[in-house]
Amino acid sequence: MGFFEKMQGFVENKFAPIANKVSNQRHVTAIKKGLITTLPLTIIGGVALILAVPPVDTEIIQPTNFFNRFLLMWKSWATANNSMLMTPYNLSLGLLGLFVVIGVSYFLSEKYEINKISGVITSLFTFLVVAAPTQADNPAGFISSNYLDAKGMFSGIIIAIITVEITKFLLEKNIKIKMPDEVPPMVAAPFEALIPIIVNVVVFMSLNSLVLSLLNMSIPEISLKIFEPIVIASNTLPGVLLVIIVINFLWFFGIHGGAVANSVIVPIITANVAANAEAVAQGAAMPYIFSGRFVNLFANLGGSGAALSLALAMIIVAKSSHLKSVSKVGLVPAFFGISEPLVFSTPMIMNPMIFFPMVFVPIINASITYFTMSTGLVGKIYVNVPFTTPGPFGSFLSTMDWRAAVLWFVLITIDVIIYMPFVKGYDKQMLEEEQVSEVEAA
Amino acid sequence: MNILLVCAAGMSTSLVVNKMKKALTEEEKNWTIEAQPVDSLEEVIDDYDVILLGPQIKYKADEINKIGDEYNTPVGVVDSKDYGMGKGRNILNQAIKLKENY
Repeated sequence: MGFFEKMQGFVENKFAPIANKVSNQRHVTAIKKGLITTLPLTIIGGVALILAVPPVDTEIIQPTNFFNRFLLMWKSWATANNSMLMTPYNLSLGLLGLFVVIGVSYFLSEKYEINKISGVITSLFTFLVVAAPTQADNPAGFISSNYLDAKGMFSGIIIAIITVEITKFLLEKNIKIKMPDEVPPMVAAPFEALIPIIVNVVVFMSLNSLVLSLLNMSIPEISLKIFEPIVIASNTLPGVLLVIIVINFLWFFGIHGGAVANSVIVPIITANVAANAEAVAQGAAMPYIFSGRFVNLFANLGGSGAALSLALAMIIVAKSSHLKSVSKVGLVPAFFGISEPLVFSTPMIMNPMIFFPMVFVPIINASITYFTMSTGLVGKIYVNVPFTTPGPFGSFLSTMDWRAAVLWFVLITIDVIIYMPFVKGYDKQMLEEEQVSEVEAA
Repeated sequence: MNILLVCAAGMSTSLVVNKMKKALTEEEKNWTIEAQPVDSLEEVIDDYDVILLGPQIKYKADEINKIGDEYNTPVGVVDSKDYGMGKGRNILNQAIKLKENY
């Protein structure tokens, strides 16, 4: 048995069941589904932010040509209408924590077959009580939105999960206000929902005052501190590479690597893209490189193993009819980031000839991108774009930096060059097989 | 017959669904073939006679088989070569066989 077969046995029998358990774990599923529901809001918030903060430096750009005049007009329009343009941003990405609480508590309640709207109301109310306490000295009665944005996301996830768990526990133990049988159910229902809300709010308010007095930090602040090391680690080059290696390694064994990795990284990249957007809104430097769709836009160009470059390399060098037809089937989907046709028809899975470029090309892409972003040669990602946005457009729109599109073309060129010798070797194999079968047929 | 294809996000299976629809014969024209993300399988499974998994989520086969048993619906994993090349007719034949042998 060859090395790859042994590895496949290990991945399929040992690793895949664990990965499956993790990604199917009920809390992980609720987090994933909850965050996916907020995706349209993050896209809308990003678009509003682009409109409100055009990538125009009035000191550099002079109205010398039509395009520059357009940019300057946009800038002055955006400045004049700033508060109107920022409203969709402020109330979407700026309230991301709040929407995440709604999403996560909804899907966890659904899983437990608890009344979903009651579950959401209980979680949301508890979260607001802890994360956005009203200030007595503020006569206008504003609530502080400081922790309702991405900063409150981690505490929001925790609170959503624990409140639903407490509610489930109380319902299972049948701890609720019991009405006499004569009371109609319609009247009794609101009273039954009362106990879980009271218990949750009391638990979290007491906990919050306790940690405030002991550590001088609120629950949202502590949650941020707890997740800080993971967020920082994932933003380093080794952290980014680890994620990308795991994704492509799993794909090599025919397992949807992105789906497995996403159950862990989606909360981080969502929080990071929101934090970057906030920095842009405030005119500050963006803190995170590993943000938004970094993996698809700058490492796995065209999907797993940077499949788009494989398709292009095939078109350039392949002579066998198999690889020619494969590139025909796979090129267009790969342009939109869908790599499965190439993965399974080449096949990329369990193909020793393709293993090296499949794993290393994305590593090279991520490393170059990391370097260019950390040195400021290329802007960081602060806008979420839909997952099927084709490469150069996605790179540009998500960073609003034309140099990101240039970087995309540089990367795809390097990738195709690396892929070419491997495709040539594999193509030779295919040609020989095709000749043999032709001889047999004749 | 109503056939459901599931994968991680329902993206690549929707490509395969189009290829399968093109491969339907005249008397099969009224069949329903749809793609859904695997997470929403339990919400929609009632409407289908056969469930096919994309090969990239083969690792979820055990769990999906259990769901299939619960709803009395046959479950199969699409052959990866057919899936990659979009061989719609082969996949339809696989679905027909799954249904007949169930």
